[in-house]
Amino acid sequence: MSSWVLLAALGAVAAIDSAAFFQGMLHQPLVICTILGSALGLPMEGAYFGALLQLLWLKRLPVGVSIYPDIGPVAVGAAGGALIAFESNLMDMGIAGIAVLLTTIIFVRLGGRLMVLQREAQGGFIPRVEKAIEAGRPGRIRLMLLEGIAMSATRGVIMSVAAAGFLLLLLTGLSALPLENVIQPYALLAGVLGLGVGSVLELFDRRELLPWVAVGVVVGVITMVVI
Amino acid sequence: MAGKVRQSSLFAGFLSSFAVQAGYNYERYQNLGLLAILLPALKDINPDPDDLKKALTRHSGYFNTNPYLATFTAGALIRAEEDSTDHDIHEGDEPWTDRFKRASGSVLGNLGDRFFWGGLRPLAGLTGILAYLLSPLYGALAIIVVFNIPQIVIRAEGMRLGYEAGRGVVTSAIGDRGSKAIIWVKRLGALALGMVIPFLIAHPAMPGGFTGVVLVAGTVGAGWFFLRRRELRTLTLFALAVVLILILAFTARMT
Repeated sequence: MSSWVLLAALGAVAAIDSAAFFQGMLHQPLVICTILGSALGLPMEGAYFGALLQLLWLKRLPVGVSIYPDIGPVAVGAAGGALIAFESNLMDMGIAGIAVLLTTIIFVRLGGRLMVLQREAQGGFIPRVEKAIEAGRPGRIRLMLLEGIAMSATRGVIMSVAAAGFLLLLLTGLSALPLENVIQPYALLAGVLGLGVGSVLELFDRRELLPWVAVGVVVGVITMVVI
Repeated sequence: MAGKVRQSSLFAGFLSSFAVQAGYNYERYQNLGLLAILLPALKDINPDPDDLKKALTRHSGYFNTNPYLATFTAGALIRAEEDSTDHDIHEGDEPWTDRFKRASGSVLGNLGDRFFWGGLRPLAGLTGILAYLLSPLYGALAIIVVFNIPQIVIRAEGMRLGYEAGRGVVTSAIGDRGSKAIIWVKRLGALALGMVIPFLIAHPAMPGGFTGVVLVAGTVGAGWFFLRRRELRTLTLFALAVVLILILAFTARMT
């Protein structure tokens, strides 16, 4: 039970950080899943799920009024669900990784859609702000911002709990397949990170930046040799 | 008689800037957030409640910019409010406040989106992955440090520079420094991207040398080819994930 409470609380934190307060990348999968894993006593597993998801949605930019995938709370739910399953019956990490990936792919757009609904609802603040100013009570503006933060928290709780529930159902289905010990967790991570690197490459594939990518490869090789 | 803005009010405005998007809506966007940033300073400038009402009403219209750079506009508005004796000046058809917020919001929005979303966020994410590959628990820390030191410094500097420069903040305080910062953050991001690739291939947990190289090279190529469009389609990603799973299952069975 306490694992679910923790999961919901971190889902709320991720949703608040992603679009309401601070926006300091606490909602990035690698960060929030490492925190969740550490709190549940499984830091390495939490970091693994976070790394798996980190680069896939990085390129989508939350610019202007576009709907962008709300990965934070969904990552908490998916990774949290997997960690809860892992806690109880030592779920195969490869299968859990696949379940986490599929869950987030299905839920991120839903999260973005829910954020749009929240912002539409926040249109109701406008007449209230005007009334507060007219009544000489400008302090209410801050209360409305707190209300917005609370709405984000609620969105985070809903998305994280729903994603965790879905993941547990999915795991039950996947467990019936003969996949035990078939998928190597690191190979899955390397493959997914490769996809992520490829997608992020678009941000840097301009002629003046490609030499920097090449220099990075050389520096990486030298660093590895030295280490 | 207009009052003087206290340093503590500017600091309170800076703290409020962290919630600039909390009341985001599709009619006036960040107007609530901007009002919260301006409120402590406007109270200093307008001790009379009726003047405060007028000042808040002036700033309750549309405002939208990159959230990390909102303090530049806010600082400039505070300076303009403090200096001006006639707040109802119109520039063209609209009050100067609306025109200034629209113009500075647009320029800073563009600058901030390119720097933070297009540069610093990928740099932080890639640095995080690099740190993760070196030592898993340091990945999260790397993202937080790489992203938040610049964002907090820039928010604070935005308030200071905006307040010092007033309505000339975009040209005099930022100038071409913004463009240079974007170029450098992108270069660092490209460097981090390059560094991730060999670390991924040569990780001790990688399945076999050649298989690992093929796996990483193949997936990087697939990611670049299929996911390079701005719109990351769920179905594309889903199909890629399924193909990846099948390949991995097949590879594992072969080995």
